[in-house]
Amino acid sequence: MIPVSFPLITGAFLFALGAFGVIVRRNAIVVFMCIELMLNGVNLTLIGLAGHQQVVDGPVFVLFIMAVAAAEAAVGLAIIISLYRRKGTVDVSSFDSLKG
Amino acid sequence: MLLKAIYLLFALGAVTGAANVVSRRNPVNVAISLLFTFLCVASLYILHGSPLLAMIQIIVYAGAILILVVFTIMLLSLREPGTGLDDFWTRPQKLAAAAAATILGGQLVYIAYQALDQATPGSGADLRELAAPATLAHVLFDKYLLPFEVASVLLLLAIVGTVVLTRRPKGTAAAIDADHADEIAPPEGGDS
Repeated sequence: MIPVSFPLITGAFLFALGAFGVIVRRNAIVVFMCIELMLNGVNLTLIGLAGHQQVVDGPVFVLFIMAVAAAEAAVGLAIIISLYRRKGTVDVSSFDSLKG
Repeated sequence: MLLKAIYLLFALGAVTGAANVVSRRNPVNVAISLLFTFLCVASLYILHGSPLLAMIQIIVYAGAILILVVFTIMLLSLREPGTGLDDFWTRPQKLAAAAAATILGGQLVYIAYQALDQATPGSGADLRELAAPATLAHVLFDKYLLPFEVASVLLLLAIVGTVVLTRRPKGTAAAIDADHADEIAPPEGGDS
C-alpha cells in the first residue's frame, strides 16, 4: 500500500519546479511545457487524495484536466506561432507592447 | 515494501525529468525530458491502481500534446542562444524566482504533512476498485454529464480557435513575411 504522502510530495515538487520554469525561462514554448508540468503535479495530487479519501471524483477531475490541457495546448501553440509570425521570435521578454 | 521502492524510483525519475525540463537549454531536449516525466507519472498512476488513467496520460500528454509541441519547435526552427539557465547566477530576478519556487514547494510539502497528521494511520492511496473503467464511466456520464458535454464544446472551440489564429489572411501574409524576412530567414551558408 502506497502512503498518501508519496503522491502529495511528488506532486508538490513537480508543481514547484514547473512554477519556477514558468517564471525563469524566456522561450515561450518552454514556458508552455512548464505549465504542462504544473498540471501533471496537480493531477498526481488529485489521484493521491482521491485514493486516500476513496472518492471517485478525483479521477474524473483528472480526465477533465487532461481535456482542458489538450485544448490549451492547441490554442497556446497557435498563439505562439502567430506571435512568431508577427515578431520573428518566441522570447517572452520581447513581447512588451503593453509596457508603454 | 517493494512497491514503495518502485514508487520512489519512478517519483525520483519524474522529479529529475522536471528538473531537466527547467534547466535544459535546447527546446528539443526540454521536450524529451518532459516525455520522460510524463512516462514516469503514467507509471505512478499504474502503481496507484489506475491503468486507465495511465493509458490516457500516455495518449493525451505523451502522444498528442508533446507531438504538437515538437511540431511547433520544428516549425519555428528555433536557434536562440542564451535562453536556458546560463545566466542564472548573474540575474537577481532569477534567484528571486528560485526563492519563490522553493517557498511554494515548501508550503505544498508542509500542507501534505499537515494532511498526513489528520489522516488515519496506515491508510494508503489505492484506486484499484475506484478507478475501474466501469465505475469511472458511471460517474462521468451520470453526475458529470454536463461538464462532459461542456468539455466537448471546449474542444470544438479550441479547434476553431486554432484554425482562426494560424490562418494567414490573403494579401497581408506577404507583407508580414517581408517585414521579418531578415529575422526568419536561415543564416547565410545554411541549407539551400
